Amino acid sequence: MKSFFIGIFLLSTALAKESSDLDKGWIDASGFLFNDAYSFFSSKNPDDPTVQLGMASTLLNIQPRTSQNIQKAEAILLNISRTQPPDSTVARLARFLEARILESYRTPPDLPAAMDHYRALLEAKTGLPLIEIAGSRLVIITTFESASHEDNLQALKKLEGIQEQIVTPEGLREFHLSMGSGILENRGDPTTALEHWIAADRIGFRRKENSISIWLNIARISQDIQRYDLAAIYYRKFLEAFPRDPRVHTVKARLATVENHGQNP
Amino acid sequence: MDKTPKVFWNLIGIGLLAACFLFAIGRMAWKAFTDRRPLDQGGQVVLRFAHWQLESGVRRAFDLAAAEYQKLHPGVKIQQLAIPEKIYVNWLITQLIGGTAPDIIEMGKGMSDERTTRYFLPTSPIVDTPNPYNQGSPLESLPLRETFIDGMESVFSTTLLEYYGVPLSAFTLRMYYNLDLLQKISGAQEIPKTYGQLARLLEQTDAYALSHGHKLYAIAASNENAPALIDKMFRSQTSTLGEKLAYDFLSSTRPPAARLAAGFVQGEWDFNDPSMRSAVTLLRHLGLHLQPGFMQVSRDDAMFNFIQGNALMIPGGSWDISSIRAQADFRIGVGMIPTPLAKEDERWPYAEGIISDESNNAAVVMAVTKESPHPDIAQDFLLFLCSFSINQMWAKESGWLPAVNNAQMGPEAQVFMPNLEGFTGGFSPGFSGADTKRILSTSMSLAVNPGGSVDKFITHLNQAFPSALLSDLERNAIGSRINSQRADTIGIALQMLAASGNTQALDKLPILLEGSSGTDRGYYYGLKTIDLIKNSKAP
Repeated sequence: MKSFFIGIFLLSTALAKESSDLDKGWIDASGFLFNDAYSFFSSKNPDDPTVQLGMASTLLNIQPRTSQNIQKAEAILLNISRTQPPDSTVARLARFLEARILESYRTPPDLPAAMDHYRALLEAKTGLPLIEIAGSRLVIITTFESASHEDNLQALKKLEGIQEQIVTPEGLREFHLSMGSGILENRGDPTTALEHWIAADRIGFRRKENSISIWLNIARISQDIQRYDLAAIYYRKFLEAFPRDPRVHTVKARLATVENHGQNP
Repeated sequence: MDKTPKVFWNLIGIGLLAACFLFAIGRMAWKAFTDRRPLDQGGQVVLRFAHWQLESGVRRAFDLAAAEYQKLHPGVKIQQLAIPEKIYVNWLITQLIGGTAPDIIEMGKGMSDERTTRYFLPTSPIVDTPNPYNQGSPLESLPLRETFIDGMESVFSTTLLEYYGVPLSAFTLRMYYNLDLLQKISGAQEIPKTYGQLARLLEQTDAYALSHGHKLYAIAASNENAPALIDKMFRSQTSTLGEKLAYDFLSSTRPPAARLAAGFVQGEWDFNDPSMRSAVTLLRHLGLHLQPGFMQVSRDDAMFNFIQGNALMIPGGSWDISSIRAQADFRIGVGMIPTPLAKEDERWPYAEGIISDESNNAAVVMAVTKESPHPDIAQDFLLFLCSFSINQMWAKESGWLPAVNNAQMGPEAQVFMPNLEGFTGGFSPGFSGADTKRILSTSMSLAVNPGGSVDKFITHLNQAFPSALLSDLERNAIGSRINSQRADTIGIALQMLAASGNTQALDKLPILLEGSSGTDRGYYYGLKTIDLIKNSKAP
């Protein structure tokens, strides 16, 4: 019995060391060096599910890109999903990649199956930002699903509830961004679209370009629906935050227009 | 005849070949080994930096900056490698792959994401801390990235999620002119600020050339500077149309190609649209006064015409100033590109006003290579180069714009400063990519040759445009899909690193995800537009 526990201890220590040793592969993969990362993972213990995830995720992007690589990656991912505890990080990330394969790597894509995967991942409330982008992906696929704007708007409305399943700011922000844009793409209610965009803006952005984009879009749509007060707020936000942007002069002119409308409704 | 001598000589020949081969292999191996070692001499650290800016003022400015650095750091010797632009990419790739790259390299030409991440050190770790060489300057307490005019946005890689390099300059498009000739032609001291006034100068120039029997072009143009000039003219007329077609026209960093394409296919606009017709009319008027056959003329040939006094004006970048001044034996003037205006006597009713310089982005980006034996010293030299006082001195000596905020420029350089007091501008026909640009370029003669006309050009563009849009959007969609797929692997890697507490990954993952929905939405919108075009083309 004692030797069994010692064996278990040694095995778990070895696996823990293996995981921390895997950082080099992940760092290479995060830095675009997919082939290097794949070679690295290939040299590690093939029974380690983290190694398997490393191999599968890098197989998707190593050069040359081949359909065999995608199939091989998919098989590894299915194996991880089947063999690992469903609430483990590797299993969840594997299921996320399975969904991505269905959506983006298959020709033609299997969008209904991908959407089912995304829904299941959201229901699991993983708290992993990467996975919670699934909410935004569901919205985007739905936005362009049918030729009928009315059908798409109905489907988008049904997706409103999934925001309750999203817990990370990244997931929630991208969901609101996509929902606002999706409503506008389908000629839905601009006021509802604005509410989503404003919710996304409240969560905030780190990159200047993204702040500029949402502020100017909110201002423009507000101006279109004659919400001049709101348009002025967002034009001013832009001018205060980015006084050296090449769009400043244009935005000042837009602001003057909405202020003029605001005074003379 | 005895065969022995023949065999003997053959053996000698083969032996010599083998010896040469072994000697070559050995020499290459030795060179590779020695080149990888620091080139330090006599206890001095030797730092090499390479760029393709062969303009004499720029090289001198770099030498002066290097001399200043060497004064502060006597143990460092800096060598400048100015590589001709035509061979730069091949040279760069050879150096990087061969492991013989200098410590610092100018980025931009021949770069890819993989090359960048494999061979260059990111600047990210230092962008949030002040530049120590800014002590005592107005930028003293600012984080490095806030000391630049563009906040280092131009050196942030949205795919690699890192800053690479530091910028040293910024570029703008201006009109150079032969001041001596201008005075002879019009008596003026400077070129007009509006296109309506320019039109009169163009006519005066033609009349002057005719009366003096002088083969004189009003504007020297080439396949490099003409597209930039034409793009600016188009954009002066189409801003209102762009905003009408796309709610995100102003918020996008470049025209939303798929949305504009969808508008074209759905009949919301074509080249008969009044603003587009106005732009084409402007193009024809301008084109008739450009150097004939300009789309087949090289930059050097156009510059030669200007330098020889055979052209009154030439559009050029701020980077051209030192070369033009060095070569011309006449007085040089520099002005803004004359702006079409909507005023009654200017006749361009769709112009919103002066167009601002869009490229408020920094340029001449220098980065430290991973091969550098002294990366800390190389990075220190870069910080020195982009410090307030040295970048200002570098700009003054080179005649180029500085990249740092608040730099004081001499009166001669003021004209090159980015003009932000202008409107944003609309879009030109090459908005969606290579194929719409090609259509514009190959059909240019219909607009600018005397035998052409506005109607001929418009008819041709309207017919040729759907196919060009289709191929551009298909190419863009493939690019978007590949980027999105790459983001999958990067995202998984960052998520795994973040789960183990890796601080860099914790920082990068939110940036990767931020705005990712916009990329995905753009992809699906592009697919929808592709379907629209295909269906509209179907019999």
